[in-house]
Amino acid sequence: MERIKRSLIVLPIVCLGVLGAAGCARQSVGEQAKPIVIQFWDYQRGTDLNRWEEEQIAWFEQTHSNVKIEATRLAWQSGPEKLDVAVFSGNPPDVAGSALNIAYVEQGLIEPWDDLLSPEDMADFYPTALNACTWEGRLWAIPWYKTAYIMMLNLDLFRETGVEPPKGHRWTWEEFLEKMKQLTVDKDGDGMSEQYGIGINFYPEEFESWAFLYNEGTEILSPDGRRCVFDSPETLRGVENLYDLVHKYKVALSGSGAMRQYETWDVFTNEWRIAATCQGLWSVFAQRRTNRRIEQAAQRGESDDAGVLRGRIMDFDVALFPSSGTAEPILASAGVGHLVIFKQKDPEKKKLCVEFAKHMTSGDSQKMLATQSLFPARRSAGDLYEHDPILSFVQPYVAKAKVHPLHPEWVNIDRTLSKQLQLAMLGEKPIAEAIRDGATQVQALLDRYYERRRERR
Amino acid sequence: MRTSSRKSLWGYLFIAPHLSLFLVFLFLPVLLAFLLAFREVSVIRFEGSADFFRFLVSDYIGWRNFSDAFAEPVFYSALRNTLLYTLVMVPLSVGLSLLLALLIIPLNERLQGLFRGAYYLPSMFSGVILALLWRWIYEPKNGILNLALDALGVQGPNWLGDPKIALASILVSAAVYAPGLGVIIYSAAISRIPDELLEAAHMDGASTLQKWRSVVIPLLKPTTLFLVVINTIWSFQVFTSIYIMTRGGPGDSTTTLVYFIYDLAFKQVGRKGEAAAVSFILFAMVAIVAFIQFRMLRSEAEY
Amino acid sequence: MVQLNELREIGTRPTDWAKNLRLSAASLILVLWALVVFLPLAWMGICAFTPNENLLFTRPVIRFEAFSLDNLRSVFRRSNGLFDNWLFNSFYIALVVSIGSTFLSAMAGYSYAKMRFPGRQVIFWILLATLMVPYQAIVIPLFVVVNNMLRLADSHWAIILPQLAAPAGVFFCRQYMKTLPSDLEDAARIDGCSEFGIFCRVILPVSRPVLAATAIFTFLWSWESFFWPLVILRSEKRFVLQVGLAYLQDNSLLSPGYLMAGALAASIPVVLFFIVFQRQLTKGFSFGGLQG
Repeated sequence: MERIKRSLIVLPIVCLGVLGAAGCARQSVGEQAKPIVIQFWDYQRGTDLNRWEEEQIAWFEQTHSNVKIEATRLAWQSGPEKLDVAVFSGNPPDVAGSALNIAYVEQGLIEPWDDLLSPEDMADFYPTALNACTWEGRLWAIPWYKTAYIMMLNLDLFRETGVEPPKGHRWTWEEFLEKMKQLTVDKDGDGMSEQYGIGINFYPEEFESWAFLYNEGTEILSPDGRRCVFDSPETLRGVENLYDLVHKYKVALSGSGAMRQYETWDVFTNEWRIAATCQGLWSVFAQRRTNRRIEQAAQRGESDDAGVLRGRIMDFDVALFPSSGTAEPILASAGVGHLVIFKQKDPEKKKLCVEFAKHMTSGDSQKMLATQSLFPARRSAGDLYEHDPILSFVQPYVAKAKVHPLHPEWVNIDRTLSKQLQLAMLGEKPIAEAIRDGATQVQALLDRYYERRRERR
Repeated sequence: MRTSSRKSLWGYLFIAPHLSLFLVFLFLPVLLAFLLAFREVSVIRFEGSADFFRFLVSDYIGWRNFSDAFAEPVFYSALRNTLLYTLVMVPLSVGLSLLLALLIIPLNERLQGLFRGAYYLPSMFSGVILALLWRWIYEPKNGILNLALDALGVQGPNWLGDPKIALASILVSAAVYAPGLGVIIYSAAISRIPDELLEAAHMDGASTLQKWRSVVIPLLKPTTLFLVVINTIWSFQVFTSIYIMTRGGPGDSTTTLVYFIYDLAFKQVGRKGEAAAVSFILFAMVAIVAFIQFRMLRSEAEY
Repeated sequence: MVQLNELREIGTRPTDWAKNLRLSAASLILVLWALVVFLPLAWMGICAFTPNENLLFTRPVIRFEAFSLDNLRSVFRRSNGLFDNWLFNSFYIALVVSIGSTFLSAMAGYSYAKMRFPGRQVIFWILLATLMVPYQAIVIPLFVVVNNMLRLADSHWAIILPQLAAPAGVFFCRQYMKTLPSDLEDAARIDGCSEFGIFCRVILPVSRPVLAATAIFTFLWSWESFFWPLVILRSEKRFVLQVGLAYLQDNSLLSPGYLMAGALAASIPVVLFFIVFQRQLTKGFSFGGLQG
């Protein structure tokens, strides 16, 4: 009994002692060990690219004595929060993929790249890629890959309706409209078409339909990021065009504007109710996989219900967004994959981080992007898809694809503008008013941001 | 005198293990968060005690985070949504559990256990899993709900994508599992009602409904109040289902206070101090409500 | 337990048809509600075993012949063979937290309930108050404490210790122990038992219901905790199940089958626990202290 009583007193003391010892032990281990440890955090990149990364990490460790790279995989859903907690508690990783956040830049947590790249290297990157990693005149990340949105065409539906796909993958707005009209079919004349030309979606973080606006000349922010220039005749024209598609010519799915990306994709690939859709380039590979799966199922003799339920193999192609007049068509891009280096205290370690980051974003890495339907950020990578029957022409357009502005308030800007565009597309608000409201609200956001920044400094 | 101080010592000893962990891992972070609410957000560097003192002293901006939070329109949407959710969920959950517990009474022991278990088991599943499941059920195209409605010839709405009904959809998905705990607690409380009271009511020829109304329900008041308090606290803090199902959207129709806090802390730039401020506003609200309800509970305890 | 049904004489008097009707109406409601509650879970089970692609069609194809373990296999495969690691980690962490927390809560609860010492109320209220602070506000400071001050990041202790600190168990134990009559301890004290002896020999045996309930709840709560383990763990092999499954959540709109399979796998302990410990659970709630 007395022993138990004594141990009760001892217990909390022992607990604290163990904690302290654990703390000290870790510290002393850290001091004794020699290798430089680089914390590398990256998001899920798909099986092939993941494996390539792991191979590169192993290679780097072997070829550099005394270096250990600890890799942590982030999930797309929860990764940003995990990174945020680590950064704001003073424990950022050393190298991180797709982690550029102006909040970190403003806190002085990120190494700038201006002096770390030679002029030849700089020239190797596509300007749009560099722009997407530049804030207030300095380069904060090394670009890695680009993606873009494109128009997917269901050639089977084109053929069935007797419409020719655009020549050379290009069309003007008039040609586009004409074909959309032909592709919209109301078989039983009840006013509801069974087949539409296209579906449009606007939603925060979904930029599929923005290229329509970009091709009319829309700009969202001024180059210095302080003014919202969204309210312009170009934007008005662009949105009116889209509005007309839905309400005037009725060639776009009703409900367009309030739809989500996955809905338009579902209607395109499963229901075959639209002949064209705007999707990321990943959809090319997704559709190929679907076709292959259907084919394999058919070969295995899974025949009953086959045609109706299991989907049809789609003969498809891609097209650029309709351009205005003779201008070059522009593609939109959601962003640029990149690597960021957090501020380093040890110059030796910084050099290694830089070397590692450079290695991961040049040469072979660019070639590996093809496994993930991604496009290179470097000119020297050439055209990864030149032998691809569908994508062989796309590279130069992706290289020039317009990326949305890099701005700390982008999340809110996106939400505000997407909401106004939705209202306009649904006809719940006059277009001009929606655009104006959007621009005013965004300007208020920007003003507040710069005001607070001024106060803080 | 000596015995009382000796007793005090034992008192402290017994709470010491838990309290020491609590102080380090819960109280200290809450304190830091509280300090954060009055400071400009910056990285919390803590490589030595000098950092900590610097954090305490510098970066102090008084109540600005609070005033910024109050100036943010989304705060009021979040407040409205949270209050709406709470005002519907609490009576629904408590009322349903009471009803179910009363309905179970006349059944035999085994069936009672079966039903109680059936209602309680699903609420033991993790909130994340239930939210994922319901998000899949609410899918406008492939979701089982709209498919079933379609089979009946009814066009199902976009449950989570229509700002007018999104919050209601989330509420319904939670209300299905909320009564689980209540049923068990009520059943237990009902079983403690002394025989004599019920005998007396029965002798007077009271019908079932009268029996319920005049005898059983009043006796369950303490339980009712307890469940109301617990459900209120939980409803104020609803987050996981929002995070999984709608991310606060469309617009801010399903943004609740805790989701707003999450958004400020992790999606917005440079507003972590505001997030901390709103957390403490929420804390104050919940504490006041719970305190009021506890007081009422205390006075009702005598019967 | 009072058998209220003893007060009814069912089926022996002419007016009993009304009673029977009400009884069947009541049963109907009960059964209907049970269905409402269970159908979604049954759906989860069906989807878990239906090949993922079948679920992606406009009308999901559900055929019992097509049931397979493919989804579960996919989940295993995508976890790089770490799935059983994750399962094991979740399990032993939850077990440690459950046992440790029960013991700590029992001790602390007893003290708050029965012992007198200055500051008792205040400390207890502080404990309760922290229940009302949303964890989003605490995450970063906690990370600072765990990582910067204690250097415990990426370890299982970093999960166990904060979870042991949770005050809910203490609350329950205190409420329960308050209802225990003081005669028990007084008698033991007169017999010359030490305080710890009283605790072990008198209080604990009588508190079995609340201890069981605390143990079970703490286990389940630890099992399903996600955000903190996500933030604090870096190495894949140290992940707990919920964190591991989060990786499979990416692009979940395209893989409901995998998602449901993973969810099912993660819920199995819940179901098992419930089946095994059902009685203790319901008993654990049937004490007066909870109501007043």
